[in-house]
Amino acid sequence: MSEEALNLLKKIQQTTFASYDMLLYLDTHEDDKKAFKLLQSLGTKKKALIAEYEDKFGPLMQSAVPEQESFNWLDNPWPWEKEGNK
Amino acid sequence: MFEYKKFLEYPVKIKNTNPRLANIIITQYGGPNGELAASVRYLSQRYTMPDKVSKGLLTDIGTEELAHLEIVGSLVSQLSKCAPPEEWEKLQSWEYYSDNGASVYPQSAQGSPFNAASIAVTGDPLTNLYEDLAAEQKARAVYDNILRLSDDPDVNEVIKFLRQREVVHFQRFGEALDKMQSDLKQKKITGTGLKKCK
Repeated sequence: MSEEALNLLKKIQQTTFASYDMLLYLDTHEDDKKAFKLLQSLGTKKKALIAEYEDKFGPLMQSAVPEQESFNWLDNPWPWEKEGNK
Repeated sequence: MFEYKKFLEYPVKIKNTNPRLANIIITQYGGPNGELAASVRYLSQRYTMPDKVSKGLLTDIGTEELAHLEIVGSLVSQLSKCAPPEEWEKLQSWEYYSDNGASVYPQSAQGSPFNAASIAVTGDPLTNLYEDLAAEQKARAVYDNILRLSDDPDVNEVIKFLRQREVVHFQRFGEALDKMQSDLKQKKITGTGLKKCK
């Protein structure tokens, strides 16, 4: 994986994690509007980053496979491999 | 249903192989306090939960535990991949190697294969949440034990992340328990104790 792809992936991992942590928080604080606003802004950011990645380097989500120009879901590396992480 | 994301929740990049350490960390893959047990416990407890907070929280934490299972599997895999047989022997991990090679098999550090007896699903919502609070503490304690045994900074960074998630999950389960107890007192929910099912 290129340095550019790895750097973008790291940002996606950070934003995805932050969103998930906010989701768990909201599960037990469902009336916290400020928290929901934060989740919304993280969601927008995450969506844009994932779209950029999938456009440049291939699908991260199974649902994005049909939007690719060719079937590239199988491309290495896979997440558990050293080469797919930074 | 579930959809796979082709990236880890937290990156795993291990420079040095160490099958001995892999054989310790495997316990959080398939051992009694591990991530597989956690995920199956929470996703199975959902079906009898009376309130939306617990239904949602068990779904979301149970899903995150699957992501943690994948992180632990990645740690074990990278620690053992292409480690030469001498290294397994020297590090006293040849028993694992003889059955599983350098792959990832759900077992405890002591070699017991994954056993659902390590989880409880009682159908009683309060009992389930108490079980979950204990489970998070047990998993956290195992990660502390691993941190005492490992001196590999690449590994410890990941273990510290997983440990911290146990603390957060414990906090969230505690909040769900408080909410459930208050809802029960105010008779907003039923479905626990000896009440008949409607």
